Amino acid sequence: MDSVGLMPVLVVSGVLFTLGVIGVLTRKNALIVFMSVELMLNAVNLAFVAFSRQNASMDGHIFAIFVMAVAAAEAAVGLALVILLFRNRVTVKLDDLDRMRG
Amino acid sequence: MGSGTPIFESVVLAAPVMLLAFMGVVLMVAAAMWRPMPRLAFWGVSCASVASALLLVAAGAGAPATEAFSGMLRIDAYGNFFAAVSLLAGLFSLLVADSYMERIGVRVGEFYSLVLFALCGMLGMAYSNDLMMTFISLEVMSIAVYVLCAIKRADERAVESGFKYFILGAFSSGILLYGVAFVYGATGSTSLPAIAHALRSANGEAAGFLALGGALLLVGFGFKVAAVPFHMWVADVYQGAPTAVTALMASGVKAASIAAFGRLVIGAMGDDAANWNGALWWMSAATMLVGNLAALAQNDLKRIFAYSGVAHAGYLLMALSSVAAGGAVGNEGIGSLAFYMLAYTLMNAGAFAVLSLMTNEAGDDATDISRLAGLGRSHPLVAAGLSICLVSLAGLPPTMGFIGKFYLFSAAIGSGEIGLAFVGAIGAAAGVYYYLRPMVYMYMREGHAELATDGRARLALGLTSALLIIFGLMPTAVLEWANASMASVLG
Repeated sequence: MDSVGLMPVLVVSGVLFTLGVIGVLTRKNALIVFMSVELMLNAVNLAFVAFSRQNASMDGHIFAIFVMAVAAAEAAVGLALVILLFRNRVTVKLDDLDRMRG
Repeated sequence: MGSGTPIFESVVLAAPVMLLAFMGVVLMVAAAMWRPMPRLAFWGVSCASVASALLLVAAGAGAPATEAFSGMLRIDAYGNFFAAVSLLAGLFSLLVADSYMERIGVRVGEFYSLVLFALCGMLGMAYSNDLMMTFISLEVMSIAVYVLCAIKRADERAVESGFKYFILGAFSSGILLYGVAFVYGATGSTSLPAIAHALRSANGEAAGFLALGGALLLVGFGFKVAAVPFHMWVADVYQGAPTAVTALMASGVKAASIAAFGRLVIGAMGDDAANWNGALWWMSAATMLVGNLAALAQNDLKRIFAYSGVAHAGYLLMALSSVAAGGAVGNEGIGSLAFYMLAYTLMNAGAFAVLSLMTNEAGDDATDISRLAGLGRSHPLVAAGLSICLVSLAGLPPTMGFIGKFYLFSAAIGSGEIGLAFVGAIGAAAGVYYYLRPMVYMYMREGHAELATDGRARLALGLTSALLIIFGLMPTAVLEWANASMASVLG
């Protein structure tokens, strides 16, 4: 069990997080952008759990559960917004969101 | 983890937060069971809840700082000040909300419930003494505001605004949270006093995690307070959202985010804050310049106020930066942050009351600046009130905005931040142009500006403009309150 140290887990977490950030910044589909945000949150959870083991405290595990609860609430609102968007515009492409210009 | 305050005592200490959460649930259930909703009952109950929360905050004002919920919350004068500012912002946007929502054809009781939840989150952020608590409160506030933005479901622009706010909000929450994770990794805790303690002895690997975590926290909070370069969402979100919601976003959400950010910089970073000041400095300078310059090019009043809000975030960051540079202990300028936050909330509330009046009985929601033409003749009192708010936003005497800016700049210079004060002065000079432009339209252009007949929005405007003048002429009591509240963070 102890063969995996802190650093390898953090590297995986960092890669996941970076993939999420790149996804948010470059993808054009609202749903994929939303999935990328969820990927970032999962990277955070992984980091919390890894640090929790490193610090020998349970706090990080509890935080991960908090984050999951918040992510679920966010997903409920986010998917509802995507549906509203599709109802109004019949598209979920972010490039089409140009009703406001200044 | 902190003192073992019994749970009942904690609930009593955090009574304003509890009250808002409870009434939010009550209204949510009532809205589901009671359709069509009795408008005045929902409006009255939500206003009464916010007013009672404000009274509860005021009642606890004299008490010494106490930790509640095992150190998750710290009920102190700092939290009370920012809680009061957020509640004032909520009260003023509720004043305009009922009639405005009726005009744009949104008749859902959930609106009031969501406003209470958002305020509950803001109070949590103001009192939060733990990064995890800050995150949860931030999400309670943000998720409610995402829905509020898109509450006019058939309006393309409102839904677009809500969706953009949601994506950027969730993205920045993710970044903020990753910062929390690294701070937890480096210090073994997310509680601000424990972080402050661990900072004094951090070295090696922990110091690296801490630097990474701090940078991520800075970016996350940068998004939340709309600092440059993380401000690009602001104009679209503010423009598309219903005006009553934009009013809450512009002042309440900003006050709560600044409160949480300030507690982190002053309370947790302590002496280490000077190391972060380089980043704060640049962020503040860029925000003041870009916000003010971008506002020059706008013709829609909501977009003008969006960029003006960005510029004001820059001024508030300048106050934080001068605290970080000058040290918090014995710093005379420490109160400028709180004082300016209150001034900004009042002037914004007044300006957005007028914007809500521009949505006429037909539900026509355009806020182009040209629609102000002739307002000075057709509605002299409203024009006068808006002028006071604009003069205050521009930072001219005899208003609270002037005192606030004066105090802010002297605090920056007193802490040796002369360059930053210079950049801020350039930005403020550019600001005078776009704040006075609506006045040119009101008084010097021919036109027949029409306003909705909404007495409560006029009351909100009257109250805010009167307070701006009163506190502009007699600022001493508020200044002392602001100073005492900022000093209370240090315990």
